[in-house]
Amino acid sequence: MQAVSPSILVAVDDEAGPALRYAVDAARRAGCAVHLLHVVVPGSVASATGIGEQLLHAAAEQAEGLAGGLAPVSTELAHAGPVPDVIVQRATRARQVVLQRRSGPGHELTEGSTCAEVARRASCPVVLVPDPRQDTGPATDTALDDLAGLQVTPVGPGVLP
Amino acid sequence: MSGVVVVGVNGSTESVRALRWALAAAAERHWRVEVVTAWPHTGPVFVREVPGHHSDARERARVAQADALRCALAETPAAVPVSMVLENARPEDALVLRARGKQLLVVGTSGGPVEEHRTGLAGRCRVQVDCPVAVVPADVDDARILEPLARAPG
Repeated sequence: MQAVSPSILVAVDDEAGPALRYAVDAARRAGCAVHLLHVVVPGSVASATGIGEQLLHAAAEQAEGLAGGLAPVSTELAHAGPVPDVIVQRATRARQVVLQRRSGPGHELTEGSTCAEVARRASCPVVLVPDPRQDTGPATDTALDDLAGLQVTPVGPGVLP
Repeated sequence: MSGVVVVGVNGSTESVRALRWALAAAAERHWRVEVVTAWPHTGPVFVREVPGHHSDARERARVAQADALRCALAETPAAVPVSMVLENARPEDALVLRARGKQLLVVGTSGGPVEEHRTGLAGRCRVQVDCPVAVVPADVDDARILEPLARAPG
């Protein structure tokens, strides 16, 4: 089923996690649909399509449960590639794109290339959601500690300094 | 009003777009917006932040920040609490620091080489920030920004 109105597009490439929850929450607030996309690149192993269908089915069930009937959920299994190109193309009719930020062994190259490429080329806002189950925590930078004492200028609502 | 959307603003068209989108996102969630503008700390020591000392660089950053916010608020029908922060730091450092423990970080982008998106401002924020990071393109159409604002409580 294809979403009709501008929807929030979620690229599903693994277990649906925080990105899906973020997208459903945003869709409920915006009153729009959530569109789940899984991409099977031509030349993938024969089982990729079946695995993709299972991923989408599980993600859709989870999304519908989270949405509570307040945000329609649609799915799409795309046989095309490369992955960033497909997401960028679908983004032309999306309200925003939500991607799961992966980290850890095996994800460094693909996460970096897909997220960077989509964020660079998409015509709509792209939200990259970290996964606390996989992240080892944000990279530390001791230089940041030097900033802790710098001046902060708080201003009341809507008031310019 | 517990959530905070942090947005990086340097006065560019891209950053004003990002600010407008941040205001819309905050309005939807009844959160507040923290506008962060960094001015460089890589110059000579006399441009560093010194209490009581006037700095042209800091003043330029303050004016650019104020202009950007004025421009964004003029097109924002919803009332969103806004606070403003000036940091004497590299932009990515300031944003990573300010985004710690917050709910959403928003940065603008004008495209550019993919390598810049990996290692530049958006890329570094994406890797180092532990909250969702929204990258807003400069040419995002108004409908995608203003529609949620139209529904937000004024």
